[in-house]
Amino acid sequence: MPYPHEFLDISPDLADNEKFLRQSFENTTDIVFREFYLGEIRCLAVWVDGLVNNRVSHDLFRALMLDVKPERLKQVPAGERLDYVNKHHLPFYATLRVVDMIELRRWVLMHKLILLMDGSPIGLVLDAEATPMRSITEPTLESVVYGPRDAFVESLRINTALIRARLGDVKLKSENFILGRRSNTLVTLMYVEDLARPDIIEEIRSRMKRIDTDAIWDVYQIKESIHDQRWGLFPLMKQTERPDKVVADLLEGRFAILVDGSPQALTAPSLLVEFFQSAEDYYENPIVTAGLRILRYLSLFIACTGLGFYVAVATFHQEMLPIPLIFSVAGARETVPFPAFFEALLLMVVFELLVEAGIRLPRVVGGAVNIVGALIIGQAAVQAGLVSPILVIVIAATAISNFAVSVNYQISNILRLLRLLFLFFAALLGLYGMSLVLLALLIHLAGLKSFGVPYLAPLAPASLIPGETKDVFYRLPKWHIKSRPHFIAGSDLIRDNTQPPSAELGPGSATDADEKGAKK
Amino acid sequence: MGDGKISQRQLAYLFFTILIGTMFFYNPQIVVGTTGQDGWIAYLIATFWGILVALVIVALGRRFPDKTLTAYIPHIIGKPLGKILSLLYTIWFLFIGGGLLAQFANFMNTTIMASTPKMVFIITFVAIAFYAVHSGLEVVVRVNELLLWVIVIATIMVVILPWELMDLRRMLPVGETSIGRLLATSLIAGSWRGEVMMVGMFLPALITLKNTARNLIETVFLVGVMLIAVEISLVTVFGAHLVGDIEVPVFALARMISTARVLDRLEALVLIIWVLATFVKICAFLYCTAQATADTMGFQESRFLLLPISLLFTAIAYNQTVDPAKFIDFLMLTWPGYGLLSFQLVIPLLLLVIASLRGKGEKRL
Repeated sequence: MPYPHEFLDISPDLADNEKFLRQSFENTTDIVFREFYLGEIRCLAVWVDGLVNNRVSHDLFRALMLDVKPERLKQVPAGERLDYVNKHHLPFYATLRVVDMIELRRWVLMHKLILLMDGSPIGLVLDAEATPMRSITEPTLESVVYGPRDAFVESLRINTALIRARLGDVKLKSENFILGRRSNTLVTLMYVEDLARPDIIEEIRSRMKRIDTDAIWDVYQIKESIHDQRWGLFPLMKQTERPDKVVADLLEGRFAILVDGSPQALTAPSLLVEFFQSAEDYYENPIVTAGLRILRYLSLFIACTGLGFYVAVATFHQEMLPIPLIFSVAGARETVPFPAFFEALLLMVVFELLVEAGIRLPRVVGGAVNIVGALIIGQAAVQAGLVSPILVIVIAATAISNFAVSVNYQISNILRLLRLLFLFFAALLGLYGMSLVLLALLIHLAGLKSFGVPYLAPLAPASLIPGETKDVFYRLPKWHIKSRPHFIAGSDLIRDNTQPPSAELGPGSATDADEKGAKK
Repeated sequence: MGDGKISQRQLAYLFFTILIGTMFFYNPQIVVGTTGQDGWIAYLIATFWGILVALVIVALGRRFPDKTLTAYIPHIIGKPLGKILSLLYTIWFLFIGGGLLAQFANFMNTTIMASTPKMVFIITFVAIAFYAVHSGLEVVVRVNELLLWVIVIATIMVVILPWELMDLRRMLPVGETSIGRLLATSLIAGSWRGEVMMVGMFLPALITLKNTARNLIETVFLVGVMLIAVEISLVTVFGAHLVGDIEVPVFALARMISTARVLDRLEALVLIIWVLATFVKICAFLYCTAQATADTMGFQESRFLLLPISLLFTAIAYNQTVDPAKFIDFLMLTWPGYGLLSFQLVIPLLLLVIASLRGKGEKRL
């Protein structure tokens, strides 16, 4: 129980207890009070309708009413009867004995079934939870071609199970927090004990305990309360809907936070480069991955600066372009009545409107938006002389780059804002203005820390320890990345000791292999 | 400021940028102008001056591991004289930094954005450097760790891409210039290299002093190699006589690039180098000036000094004459005396001698 609360002993007299509960749940139609007798002993079960498995509760009453022999029960002293039932007759895998009425009442609200018996000053909490939920589906935001296809759902238990199923390590610990004075939401903190740094785990515990709010139902609400910065644009904790990503993060010494009701997990400490690593990078040939990563960083650059570049060149630095291109740019812009900045801003805003509309619109009319976007914006705006065709190409290129880089949707939204910033300063001071923005951005990022870990690591501060940069602009094979990231993981730094695969290690050439080993 | 510790590698990177930064903009013109195609020999000698400065300043720093240059000067030569020398160093940082800013603004104003007033460049640049230094020294060195690669790659591109125009015969004859002239020129080139003296202000921020001298010597040497590469590229493309007459030869070199009909007129590369390197240097000078002021005045904290010092930088940069002829004159006649022959090499060397004679500081070398 996280909050200080008053304590109320459970009375041996069931009538008192029932009165208390009925008063608490007055005018509450979704609470079920089920009264029954074991012989002449009066019993009471209470639960929230719909949150308890019908099948299980049916089994419960069957077991109690048919199996319990009233004569045998009468021989047990009155105060110990419920304990006796608990030990001998409850076909439940998890039960909890409670002596506090307030706590018992809260368990009802936390999806449990409670049991009281006349004469026994205790209550039993039975886990028969069956919260309504959807089944496990494919990830929608972080979809991949190869690799696991399951995503988190809204049930905390299922989510922890998805993680535990992949990581059967005795050192994988999970701690529960009950957050939200009114919502009583279960929040789980997971970490691998000998990989996570103890000071970071201590810090997250204390930050979690600082949360004092009425209700929580999504992991983002926790993120906002325990973020390293009050007002920050960049996410210092990573949200993901993929269990495999969480497992990989746990194995690098990070911790994960799961919230009941949220289909996403939160992991930290986070680095900026992580937001450009797709899960798929690890299920694909490293050479191909290197190409894709470079493409991703290139698209990051285009997404941020492409539009600003167009405006800067068209406004300030025409001399930078090759002469034939200058003619075509100037020719295309001849009919445009606006300055390049306004032209770019106009088309950018319209494009962003299209993106937002595409998300909000009901799926059945989504096609209409595509037609409007392609025809009206693309074709008609150019024909009407509002924008130049080259700008349409630039906008399209930045937009496509933005989607290509959005391994993580949070970063992709930030890029949209940064693009506007670059555009504005390009219009103000040309390429010089853009480099000012870039410098300011770098300074800001270099000063950020996520739970004490520099945000730009392992690039700045660059690490001399081999292995730290093997997974940034490219990814080396699994057997090659021998160590965990030193700035995150606490101990057990050796991650992989596999011999590099080699045809010579086959059984046919054992002598060769031995010789090689001897040389080493 | 001062609260963040930096690593050996970060210090080496920082000084790589500081040394290479603005060096090859005005420097080749003077060096090649006076020594012709033998400029690379002058650069080689200058590298040894730089190494000497690094050795002296690290040896001094090792005697006072937890103090900056301006903080330990009074310990060596006594309080009244020491405070005056510290103040002189403070002013040196202030004026060189301000001058750097003036050059930068002037260059931007004359080459790419003629209709934008110089004040715009000065104010925006000081503001961004203020933001960086105010965020802490560790932020500056981290940013530099990223920028360094951009600067190095851009430099290599500028040096290598005009390969079609290069004619190695322009390097001949070798050894035409007299030794005395080479030495005199190396003092000019060496005064840029002597800026490694600033390391005296950064040593207390290091996590460990181990290997500092070796790392700095490597840095100075690598910078020398890169500069010689730039010089050779310039001379082989333009010929020694022409290089001496162009105001910013590297800029002209980048204009000559025309590879595969795609990489055309890459002045932007030089601009990138100039903006990024000047940024790092201004940050370093801002840091040094603030730290030196705090040391001289006896303040524990120097962060609050950043704002007034930034304003001073702005004022100095705005009021400095940047008439190219006068500026080249300054670089040729005044700069060696102001740099290598006093503040960079001779004074620290004297300080080291006095410190070892009077037995000041910890006696470990």
